Amino acid sequence: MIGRLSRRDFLKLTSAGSLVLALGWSAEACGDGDEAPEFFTPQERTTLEAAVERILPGAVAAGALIYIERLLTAFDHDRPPIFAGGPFSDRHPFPNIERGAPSDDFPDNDFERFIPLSRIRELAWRVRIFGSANVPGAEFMFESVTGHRDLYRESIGDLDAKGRDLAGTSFVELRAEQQDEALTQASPAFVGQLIEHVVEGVYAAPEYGGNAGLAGWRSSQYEGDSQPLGYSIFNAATNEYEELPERPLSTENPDEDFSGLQGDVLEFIAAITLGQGGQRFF
Amino acid sequence: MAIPSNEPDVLGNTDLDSFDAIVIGSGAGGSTAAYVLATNGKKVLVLESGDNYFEGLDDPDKDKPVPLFSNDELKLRVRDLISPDPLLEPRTFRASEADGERTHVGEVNNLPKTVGGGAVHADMKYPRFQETDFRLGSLLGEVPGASFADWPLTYDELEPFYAEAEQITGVQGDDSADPFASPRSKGYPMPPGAPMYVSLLAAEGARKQGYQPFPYPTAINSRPYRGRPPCVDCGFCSGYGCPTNAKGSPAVTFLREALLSENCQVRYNCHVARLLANASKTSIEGVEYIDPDGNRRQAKADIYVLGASAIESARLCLLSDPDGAGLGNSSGLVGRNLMFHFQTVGVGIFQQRLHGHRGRALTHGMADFRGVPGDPERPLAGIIEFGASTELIFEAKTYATTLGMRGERLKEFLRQSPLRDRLMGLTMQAEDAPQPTNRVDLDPEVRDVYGLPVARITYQNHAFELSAREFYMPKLLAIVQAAGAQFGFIAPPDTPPASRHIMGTLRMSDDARSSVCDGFGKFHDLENLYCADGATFVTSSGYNPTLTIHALALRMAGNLISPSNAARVLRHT
Repeated sequence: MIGRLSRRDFLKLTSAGSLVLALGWSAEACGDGDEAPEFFTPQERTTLEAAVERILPGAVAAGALIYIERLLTAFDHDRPPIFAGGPFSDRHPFPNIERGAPSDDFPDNDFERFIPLSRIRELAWRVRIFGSANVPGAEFMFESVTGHRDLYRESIGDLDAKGRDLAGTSFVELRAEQQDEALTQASPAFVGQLIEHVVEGVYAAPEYGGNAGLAGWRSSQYEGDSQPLGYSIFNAATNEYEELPERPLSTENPDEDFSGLQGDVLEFIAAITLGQGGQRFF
Repeated sequence: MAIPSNEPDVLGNTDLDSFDAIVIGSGAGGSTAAYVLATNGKKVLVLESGDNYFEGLDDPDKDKPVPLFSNDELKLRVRDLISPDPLLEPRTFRASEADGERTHVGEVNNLPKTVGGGAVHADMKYPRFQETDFRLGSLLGEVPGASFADWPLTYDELEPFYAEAEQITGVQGDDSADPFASPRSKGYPMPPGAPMYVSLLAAEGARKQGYQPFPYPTAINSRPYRGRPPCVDCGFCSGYGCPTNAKGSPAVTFLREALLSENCQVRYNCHVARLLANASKTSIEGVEYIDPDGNRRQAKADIYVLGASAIESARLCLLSDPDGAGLGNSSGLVGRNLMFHFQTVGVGIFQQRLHGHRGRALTHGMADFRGVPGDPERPLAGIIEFGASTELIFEAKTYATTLGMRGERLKEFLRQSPLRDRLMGLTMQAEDAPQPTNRVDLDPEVRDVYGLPVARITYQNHAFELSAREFYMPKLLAIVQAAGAQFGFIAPPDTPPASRHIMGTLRMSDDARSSVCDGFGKFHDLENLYCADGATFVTSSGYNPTLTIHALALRMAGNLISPSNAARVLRHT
């Protein structure tokens, strides 16, 4: 879905798209009807969007910034959106084991009801978000922890400063390769954390704020959560297991082409295989 | 009606206010001990440091408990819902004393800590050990630098307890398919469930190489069993709690039965800080724990059972002696002979998609590489799991962080998915030679959220397991090639080891000078302290350890109820 769009399409989409998504998610996101809390200033948001698109094109439209902002504002929500509830989302039906087939009965979406944090869990997540120096009770920690909020605020400012150094412009107005250069020179702690958060936002369950319309899962041919249906249905009448023809458990995919890895990916895997002392068998 | 509890952070009978036994930890060992004691009329208090994610675990309603686990990689694997948070409860690591105080602070073999214990995360591979695994001291003779010894019990003595644990947890398997399995008195309670494509391919590759693969014995329902549903093969198994209770994990089997007996109370988010011993350190008189609000409290009983896992149970003994030597430590062995299984992973990358995310982690394995004690042509390694790779966030981080990919290239790797959807992984467990120098002690500086010194792990491999790895690596690659892989390689070993199989530290023997506990898990030095977890293991075997923890805990607690005839407590065999 996102793979077909050009980068320019995305730049056109991003500001409007993320606004729509932010509005669309705010009610469910908080579970308490309040506005989605914001952390980034408009300027910071624009800079961060540009950086995120250099890491993973399409990530902004997929809601990566919404994911990040919800983490940074977790304690502004009645229930911090750290651990989604369970056991089921509403994406798949229950199995019917009398018939050995999917039923028409779908569960409620439990993922939307976030799990309350225990006292010590809350301490840990406050430290991650605000930093160990700013959280009472964190004095025991052997190594100090920089909070995500400080890391983002300072590092986004640094990206714009780097833009002025490189070309006398803001980060957003740099050419793509200059943006990459600025990211290379940015704090490795920030870039490492940003990559992790972008990947989590795009590829985690959508209840965390990203993966809009399951764009992350679809672009990777990933099937996501499968409960309560799963991939085998026990048939109590026959004691056999029914499988889903399009998504079999015990056999190859029905449309499998066996053509293997393509192009660059094939070469890269060959290289790391040999680098590990392994073998290419054919 | 005393149950279910409606008090926060308490499960079970809230009317109980005096106890015969206090069990520390609600995992495989602790839950099993609590079950035996409570169902035989003893009043039991279980103190669990972690949180509870089984809503209604103490509610007799047939639709309970409702787990809060889900097919959610972020929650379970990135943010680690069920594991101790490494910011709150770090461990430290060094390979040897020559490395200084430590080389790493943070996560070290972070076995989950939650109601139901470490086994909540497991994909429930529940094989038994082999008969010879209990006699490696005799069979191997002297191995320099290692402390192999015989167990103070035989396979035959443990066999009825294995059978009982299989019945209670609900193990699926094929009685006749593993030619290396030791004799059984009773068949598996369920047949194997639906097979996975990746496991079938690996099994075929193994057969072509002359090996004898079999459906992996697994405590996952293949049928409706004891009020729990059959597994639907959702694909989020290893590392994930089960959303439907199809896994027979300790919480929904042993612990639930203990709670429903009305003789058991579980207090969770309650972290035991120390055991309180008498002046001569021959008896435990109470425990001090930190309650959910952070207050220090005490609890008392007649007997005390450690089930906090091999690292934490040893740490608790070390924390509980104001003189510093450690409770129960007249042998000097508390914390020593720490073992993890030394895992070797043979990786195959295939032309086709293997869709290992459909299934229950794996469905087949083989034991041909377990070897024969003392035979140089068949060194001791362990059982092999025919598995796959399932996690998208992990895959994306591997490409983006480890391999430095960005932009369209990153997306193309994720679309073709060489390291997830096309990956077969053969995980070989291996006998991890016990070494007195591999140990748990208290870090001199690093503290946890409770202000207590954290466990420091000092661990390095012995030539015993390193040479087994070298011996079997080409044979693993031959299997993935025969299975049809285009590429094959051996994954680099984990440092610190990440197996989640943690054993030793309070080893057992009838000889008090060479061990901490006796053959029934009772501390030699203390009249009322017992161990029910993997800490008592003398050797590590080459098989997943949890079923053996259950069997030993059944026997330990059975001996408390019925001295000299522990098997009298068995109800299903």
